[in-house]
Amino acid sequence: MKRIIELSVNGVPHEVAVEPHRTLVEVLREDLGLTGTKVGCGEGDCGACTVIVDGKAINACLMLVVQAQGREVTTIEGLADGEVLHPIQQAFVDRGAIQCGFCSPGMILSAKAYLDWNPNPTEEEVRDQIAGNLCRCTGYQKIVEAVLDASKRLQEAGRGVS
Amino acid sequence: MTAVRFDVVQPETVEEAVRSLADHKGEAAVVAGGTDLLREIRAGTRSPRLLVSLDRVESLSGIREEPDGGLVFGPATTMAEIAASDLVRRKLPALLEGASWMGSPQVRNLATFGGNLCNARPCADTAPPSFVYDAVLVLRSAGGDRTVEAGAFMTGPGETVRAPDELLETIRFPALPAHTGSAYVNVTNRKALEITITSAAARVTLKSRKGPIREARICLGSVAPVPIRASTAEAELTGKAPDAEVLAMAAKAAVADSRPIDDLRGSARYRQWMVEVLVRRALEKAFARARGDGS
Repeated sequence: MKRIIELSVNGVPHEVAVEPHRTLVEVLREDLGLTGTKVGCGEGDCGACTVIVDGKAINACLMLVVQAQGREVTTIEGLADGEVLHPIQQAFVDRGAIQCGFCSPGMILSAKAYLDWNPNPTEEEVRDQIAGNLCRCTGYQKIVEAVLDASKRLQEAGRGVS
Repeated sequence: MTAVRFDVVQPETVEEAVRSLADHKGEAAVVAGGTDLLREIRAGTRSPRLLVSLDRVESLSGIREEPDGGLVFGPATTMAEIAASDLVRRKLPALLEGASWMGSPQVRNLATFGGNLCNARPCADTAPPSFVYDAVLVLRSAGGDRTVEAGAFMTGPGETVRAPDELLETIRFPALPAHTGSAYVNVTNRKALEITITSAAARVTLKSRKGPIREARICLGSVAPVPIRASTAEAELTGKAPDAEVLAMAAKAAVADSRPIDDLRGSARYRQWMVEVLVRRALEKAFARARGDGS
């Protein structure tokens, strides 16, 4: 039997009627039409479904939607400001860190969650913090450079937490 | 992904949670972070009809220091919370080292300490530290509660003494004696998203800051059906001065205490080789910390 779940997604409050076994990633994609979050392995082993919940990067395939009741969720759709990309997204574009793009939403959100907490990371810290996001195309080098680049852009813009 | 259906209840207190478990005995499973359970349900290896989610039971989260210096953990405390805890870093560094490694940053934001112990994998990274630190688990049911020593909690891969209607309520660590140092080291195929191939937790207490060993405890992970104490190695260390030769002898002795098998992540022979390397490294770090000159 369905139950009503309230959650805020990208700053917008939503009310959805869901069956209890459904996961956050399914509801984001299928009920709310936010297909930017991808399903890779469905087991928490690839990071493609990474979203930010109450400030923390998590695998949306492992969170039951009922556990997201009352929480604030940020998906990739929530980063750009209209037509203006978020500095992390722009850095990914500028640095050639996107090939097929499948890992990119999760990768960018992992980066955002970390930079919100540590605005000035070392390369090693960046590599450790994206270790939960697999990329089959890029070999990670340009992704790491993009995240470091983004950290500088964010600091210059004076936006430590956005 | 939605092929498997189940119902979910979200109690707000421990009492409600244990009542749900009692009412649905055998058909209910506890879910905290869900990082193991949801995978098992999708793989078909577990099929509970009801999940009792702990996400609203606030009393099950958090790390508290007791007046005697011990630490008490709510089992729903996440790996990320342990990894970020200054209290744990200072008092139980081996536990922090185990929790900091497992999964990935995203998984650690969901995975819980209690889940790691209750899932009882031989590779569980919080288990060897819990064993050497003499952690005590409190299990609660509708009928009351009971305590179990960490070392007696796991009985086999995926098996514990916890009954289906029992909830792990707290994990308590006693204060450590002076001149005690500890560490956890492991070897894995990758830095993340992999499970431990072999691990060693070591805890040593010296008679004085520069003195000989009063007592040593070593627990090995992933080399037996449950994490096991390397008692031969421990006996080699008691009363001795902690020099390189003594550590090397103890590390060698620990190999005989291990009972690894061949599996897809490593052969038994490789794991035995790693036992010797990791026990020596864990002891070296533990001694440096006991003497106060390590980090």
